[in-house]
Amino acid sequence: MTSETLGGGYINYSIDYVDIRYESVNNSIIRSMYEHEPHIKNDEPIDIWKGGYLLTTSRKWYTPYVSPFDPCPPLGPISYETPIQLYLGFQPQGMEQFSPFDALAHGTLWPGLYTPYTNPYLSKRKELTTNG
Amino acid sequence: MAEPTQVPESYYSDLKSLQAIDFTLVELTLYLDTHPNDLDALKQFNSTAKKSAELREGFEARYGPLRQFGHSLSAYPWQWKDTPWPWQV
Amino acid sequence: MWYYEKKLQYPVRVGICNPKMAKFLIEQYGGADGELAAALRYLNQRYTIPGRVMGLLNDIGTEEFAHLEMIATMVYKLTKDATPEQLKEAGLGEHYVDHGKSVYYHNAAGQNFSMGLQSKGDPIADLYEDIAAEEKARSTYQWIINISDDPQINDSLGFLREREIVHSQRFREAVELLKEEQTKKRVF
Repeated sequence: MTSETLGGGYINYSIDYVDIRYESVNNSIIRSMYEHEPHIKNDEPIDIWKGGYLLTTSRKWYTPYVSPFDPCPPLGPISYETPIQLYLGFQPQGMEQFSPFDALAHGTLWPGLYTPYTNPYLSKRKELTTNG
Repeated sequence: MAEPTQVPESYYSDLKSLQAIDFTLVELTLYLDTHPNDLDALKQFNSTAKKSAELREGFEARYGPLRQFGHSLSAYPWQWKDTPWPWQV
Repeated sequence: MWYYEKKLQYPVRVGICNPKMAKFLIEQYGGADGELAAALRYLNQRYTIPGRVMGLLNDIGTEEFAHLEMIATMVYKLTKDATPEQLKEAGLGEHYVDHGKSVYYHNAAGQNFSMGLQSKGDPIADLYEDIAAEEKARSTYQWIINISDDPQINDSLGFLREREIVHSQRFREAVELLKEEQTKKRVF
């Protein structure tokens, strides 16, 4: 997979584990790349970089099979977290540090180990109203 | 019966300064456990530990001992047992 | 031996008087992947792990007790001013009848803390168990954040979740250290 068309925009990517999110809105399936949706990115699942290029994001999505006999309306795409420790390897020496106060606030001394989390159900709701 | 006196407002900000320095020490400790040869991290650990000791001394002079079994001194009468405890503030 | 320090590792503030949160938070107190289980597991495993990573297990095990205290603080603050009626409404009626307002080592479903701790005595098996345990605790924090409506509690839970990430990172490094040939020097 090397490129996708999304809402008229052309996106190039070459990493295998970049995920594609399927999103069910009004029974139509919109295929979109999570990385390129800035409206749900504020302080949310982050891009994970290594050696100056984008490795992946810290949140992935998949869509469960929908049966016509499911008792409840489908919830849509399901997310799971893939934080930085899955990608970092042995921590290199001399990584950039937070100040002591910022370290406490972030729960780690190194920005390179920080993977924030927010309720994905909230961002899904926000996104539905944005994309409506 | 009167309610016990509350800690002054400054307690929270002073405590946070100490928590911040000590958290850096927690992080450096775990890091050095797997990176024992990182000299820069080691120097940072030692200088941060000194800074923490200074802050702790000032904090204890204002609000009472933080450590016990002899690791903090006490004024008279014995202050260690005084409330509030960390889960109360 | 251990020394107590009269402060929390991270400030705990509870913003909303919602005893129901206590019922969810107790999972990280006395649940299978909670902070008590983590502390006891690492401190138990440290005896039979190679010397190179003994210190790490000792130190992470010690930090877990600081996290246990943070969780207990949230539960205590959420229940201390609740009436029995409010506790009943929060689903804590059984807890109250059995334990009063005591904080107690059981999980969110009310099952007592189980000593079914994983400790195999095999360094790789134990460290992989520990990595899995950190990831499980990380997800529990995510589930609690999803269900919580208190931004101040979520702030503390966000801190604790990030600590699981750092611990997992260190355990992964410990595995790498044990995979290394003893005679070889580490290259970064």
